[in-house]
Formats: sequence, C-alpha cells, structure tokens
Amino acid sequence: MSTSQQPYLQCVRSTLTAALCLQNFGCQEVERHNKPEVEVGKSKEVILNPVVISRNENEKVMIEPSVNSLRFSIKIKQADELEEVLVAKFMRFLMQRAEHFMVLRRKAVPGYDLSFLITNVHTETMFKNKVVDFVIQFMEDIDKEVSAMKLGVNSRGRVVAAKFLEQFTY
Amino acid sequence: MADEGTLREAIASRDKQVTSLLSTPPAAVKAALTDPPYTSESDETRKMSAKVVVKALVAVPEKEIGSVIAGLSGTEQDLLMKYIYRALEGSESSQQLLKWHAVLTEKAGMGCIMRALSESQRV
Repeated sequence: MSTSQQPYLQCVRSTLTAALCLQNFGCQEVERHNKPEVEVGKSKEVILNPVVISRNENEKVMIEPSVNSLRFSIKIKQADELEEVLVAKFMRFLMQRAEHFMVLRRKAVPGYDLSFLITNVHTETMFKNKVVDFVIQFMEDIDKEVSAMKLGVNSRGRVVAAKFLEQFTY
Repeated sequence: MADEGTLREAIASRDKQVTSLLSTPPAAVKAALTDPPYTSESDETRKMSAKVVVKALVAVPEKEIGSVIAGLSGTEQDLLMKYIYRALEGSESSQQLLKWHAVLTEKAGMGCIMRALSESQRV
C-alpha cells in the first residue's frame, strides 16, 4: 500500500520543499499590515502558479504558493458513503482544533477535504523540512486512520445488532 | 497574437510528428516539447498540448527516462517540468508522470520546480 504511494508522496514532498521558500512581505494595499497573500488573492504579482498533483480521480493535492504564504489542500480518497461521512466528521474535528496544529486552516478550500496554510512566520520559527515531513506523514496517516475507523464502525455495528437481536431468540 | 485556431493546428501537426517519431523516444520527446502554447487563452488548447507531450513521455521505457532527460537542454527541461505539472492535474498516466517527475527533479534540481511555479509563461 505504501510502496505504491511512494512516487506520489515523493513528488508532493519535492514540490512542497520548493514552494516553501517564503519571506516576509508587507501588504501593498494597507500600510503596516501583513497578510498571507495567497488568502488575499488580489495582487497577481505576488501569487505564484498553483499546482495540482493527482494520484487518481479520488486523491489529489493542490499547492497554491505565494511570496509569503502557501496553501496546501488535500482531497482524501473516499470510496463509499460511509467513508465520506467519516472523513467529513474527522476533518471537522481537526479543523475545530486548528489552533493546536498551527498550520491548519479552519475551512477547507472548496473541492477539497482539508487545507493547510503555512506562512513565513511558520517557516521562520519551525524547521522547513520538519514542516514538510509533518504534512507528508499526515497524508499517509489519514488514509490508515479512515480505514481503521471504517472497520471499527462495521464491527461495532455487528456487535450491537447481534446483542439487540438476541432478545428475539429463545 | 496567434488565435486559438492557429494554435490548435500547430498542436495537431505536432501530434502527427510525435506519432511518427514514437519509435525513437528521445526524438519524440524533443518534438513534443517544441512550440509551447504560451499565448493560448483556452484551457482546452492547453490540455490538447499536454496530451501530445504525455503521449511522447509514456512511450519511453523506464530505463531510458534518465538518458532522455540528460539529452534535453535546460530550457527544455523547464518546459518538461511545466508540462508534467499540467498533465498531473488530470488523472491519466499519473504513475508514469510521477516517475518522470522524480527523475527530472533529481537531474534538474529544485530550481526547475521553482521556475515551473514562478514563471508567468504558463504552458
């Protein structure tokens, strides 16, 4: 499973390392303000070309770089409705605790399940290669956790149904 | 300023040239990388152009990817990186494209990726 993911993760890793060259850049419209330019989206010259890397139709990653910030959005593989619900709830749980993650965005970009917003402040205070490691590790772990949750739901449902239906037997 | 029609004709002729050269992969890749549609305003034209390049790339056997890339000039390698990213937006041939990306990054370095991200001339 992970060996087939390796080229995909390697590609994301090298693109992310290249795109994470961020520097401080004050807002050009309002003086003394400093905003993540990828979120403002108004000045064309400070925003770089967005890149989408897809592994297949269900899994892809979008990297939107700019001069002082980077937005990284993931679309997680969801094979059926149960996984869709699980992913939605799991992502909502994580996004509500975005402050603890520091680099997580509170709302995902439309079309994707989860978004990270990494700014120059993060790259100045944290090791850039560790941030990249974290994001890649996150992508690997998400898939495992979602399948583990799905198995858990199915087994719990089976146990509950068996117990409930016991009362109807002699 | 070439309009969409002329650009698409150029892409179609490039497509024919690549198809005829498919037996010699390095030549096919070089032919696919000529004349990128920088001035195009339609997404369709750019996708057509990317398809031609993917056709050439997929025909190269895995062992020869390194030597084909070594035979390209710096500008052509940058252009190839831009095409790989454009083609990775779709979901066909992603395994081979990711292999090409890995080898190209190794040979051309992070600078190649940075130029693909920052240049305003998008393929």
